[in-house]
Amino acid sequence: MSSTLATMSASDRDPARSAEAEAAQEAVPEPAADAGRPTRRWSRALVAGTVVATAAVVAAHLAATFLYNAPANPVSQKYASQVNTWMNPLFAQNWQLFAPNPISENVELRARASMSADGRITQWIDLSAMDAAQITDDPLPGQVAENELRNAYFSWAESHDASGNPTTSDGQLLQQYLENVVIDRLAPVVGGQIGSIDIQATITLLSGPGRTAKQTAPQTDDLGWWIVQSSPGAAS
Amino acid sequence: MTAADTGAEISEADRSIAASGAAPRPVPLARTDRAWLIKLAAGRWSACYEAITTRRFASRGSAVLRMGYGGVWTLFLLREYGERDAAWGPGSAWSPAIDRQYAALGHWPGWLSFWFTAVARLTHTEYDLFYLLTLALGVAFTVGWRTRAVSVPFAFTVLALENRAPLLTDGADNVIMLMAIYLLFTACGEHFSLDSRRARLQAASGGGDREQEQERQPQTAWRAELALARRQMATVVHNGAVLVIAAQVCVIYGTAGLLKVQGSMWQNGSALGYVLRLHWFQPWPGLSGWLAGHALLLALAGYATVFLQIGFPFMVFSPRLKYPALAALVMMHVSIAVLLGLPFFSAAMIVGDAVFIPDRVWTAAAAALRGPAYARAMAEQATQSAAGTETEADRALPQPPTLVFDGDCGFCTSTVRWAEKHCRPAVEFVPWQHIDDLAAVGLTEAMVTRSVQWIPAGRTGVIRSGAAAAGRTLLRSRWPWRPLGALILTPPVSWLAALGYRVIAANRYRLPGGTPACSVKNRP
Repeated sequence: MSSTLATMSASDRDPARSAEAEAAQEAVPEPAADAGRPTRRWSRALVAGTVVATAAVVAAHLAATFLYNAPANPVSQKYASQVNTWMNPLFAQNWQLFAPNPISENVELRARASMSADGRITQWIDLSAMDAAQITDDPLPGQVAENELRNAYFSWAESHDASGNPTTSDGQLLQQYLENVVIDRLAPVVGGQIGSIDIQATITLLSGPGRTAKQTAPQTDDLGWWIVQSSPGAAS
Repeated sequence: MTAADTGAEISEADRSIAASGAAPRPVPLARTDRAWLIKLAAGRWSACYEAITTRRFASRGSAVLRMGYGGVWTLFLLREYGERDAAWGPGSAWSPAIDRQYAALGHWPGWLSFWFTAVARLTHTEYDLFYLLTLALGVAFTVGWRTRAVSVPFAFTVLALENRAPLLTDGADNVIMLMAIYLLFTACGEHFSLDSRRARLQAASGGGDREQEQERQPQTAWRAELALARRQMATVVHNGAVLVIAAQVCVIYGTAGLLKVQGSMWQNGSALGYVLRLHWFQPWPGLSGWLAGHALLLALAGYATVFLQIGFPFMVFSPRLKYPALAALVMMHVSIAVLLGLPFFSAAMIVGDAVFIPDRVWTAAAAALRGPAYARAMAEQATQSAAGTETEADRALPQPPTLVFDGDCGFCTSTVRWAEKHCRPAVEFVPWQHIDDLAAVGLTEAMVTRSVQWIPAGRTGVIRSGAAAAGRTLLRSRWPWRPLGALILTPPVSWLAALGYRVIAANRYRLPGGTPACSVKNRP
């Protein structure tokens, strides 16, 4: 059995050779579990057709999976549109887990609100500390505390330029998302209708080989005041 | 030598063995004419075709994947139950409006857009009901209730819920979504399921019922033929899906490893030091901080991670390297679960690794879990099948497994008495001094004086000694000793246990109940 599975993964690298490799492993096949087998021509054709169709789909899927995950190369560039059509969104995947380099900076997010009723500006509220307090000492951290703020901020940062203008087609949408995420955390603390928000990111490069003290000093990036169109509760 | 060279060499060797029949002997080159080669190729092809149409590879392995992913998903839903509205409900920061716009940007086919935005269209009450339904489907899938039918709505709800908030997901969600789709095509309900239990009970009690049913509905020839063809077609699709699952696991490790090689921080060994200082992934800041101070250890762990991930797709080919690699991966995932606070991701990856464990291991594991009663029944079966004739069957009473110990050693004897009293294993304890002919059961005096020896049920199979024998005894004991036995037999604990056993055996004359006769060295 183990050798069979090894054969199966072998074909991932070269699907065309899988039949030969499998044949090499199957020199001594186990007896079939059930004695009965189709004998008529039409039923055997059905089985043979399934074998051909399955082999074709599996080969195509393995090839697409490989090209989708491999670094850009002439083959994956030539078939980029076909591969993406096949893989997205059903088989979308990303295995860049802390690779090529892990994140090596801590980003602390804080925000303040301007109340729509009287224009009062609240204190800075440390959103990252709120999440950290929930995660700490929890063997099963929840996704909202662990992933939401980080993914929302990094997706926003990747889709906007230095002056805060969207650079991708989903930029606006991602800004709305970050706004909602921040308001979800601010609203219970400040109370009342929020008119606009101000988000500040403090980025601290972690100390390490080849990094000077100047580089690892915290840097603050203010995203500016965003006018809140509608509270997330009202949006739904 | 390249991998291709080795492959060619192996298949060449295979061919010569196959050509010469059971006893391998050199094949003269002159005889390898073309007709013979064609015949051989045809034979190979038909053997391969036979295998993929009749054998279900990883039949129990896919059942373990079903239980694993169903279980991880169910626990995940229970964990997020209190935050279900903030995560995927109408009150999510990824508002229904954002969800619709995002789906529109994807330019997906209509049915996919409908599927992925389905949850965003639900009201509060509908969403709560949907969440409960998803939970119920997770449980039903895990226990294998009407598996074929349940696997479809299971996959539907998993993908619908996960795609409700695409930016909330991490690696765990990615793995579970892919596997939910792949498992649709496997026969993952055939073992370890309520379905298999029902089939077993029906076969045991209602064999007559089925015949009656057949009489009531006389099967036409083509119907019977179609049923046979359908079973084979299901087998073919199952095998394809298992291949895709195994390849997918290899792609995950291979991609993660090869991408790390390109990173300067993984090259200079500083990567894990950075990861442990990230505030986003610090459920235990004290522990992370303490570990971050050990640069040397972290550099070694980082290198080990990269080598393991890149090597895994190749190591699974080698029966010798496979199990150490899997054990190392499990340790890696446990560290990720604890240190980085990603328990569901780690669990999802460990479940995926299980596809590489052969079915015979799952069979043995299931037998061990069923416990002493099952072991006794198996021992009886083994004896009955081993005894060919009536007289032999009369003579050979059901033989449970036997643990041979040193009856002269006070420490050994008191340990055995203690085990008989507390663990109550379905194992026969015999001092080697009571065995007339040691060689007849495959033992020597050197073996039995050095350590305890385990003779499997029915006196057939491999004899184990030391910690492996003790672990097998515990495995056939009553609760709670059984899991301890399983632990002792599992690497890397098994290596430590073997070492520990040797230390105790070497010093047993010093231990309570020990007598000079216990000394391994001072035997007459």
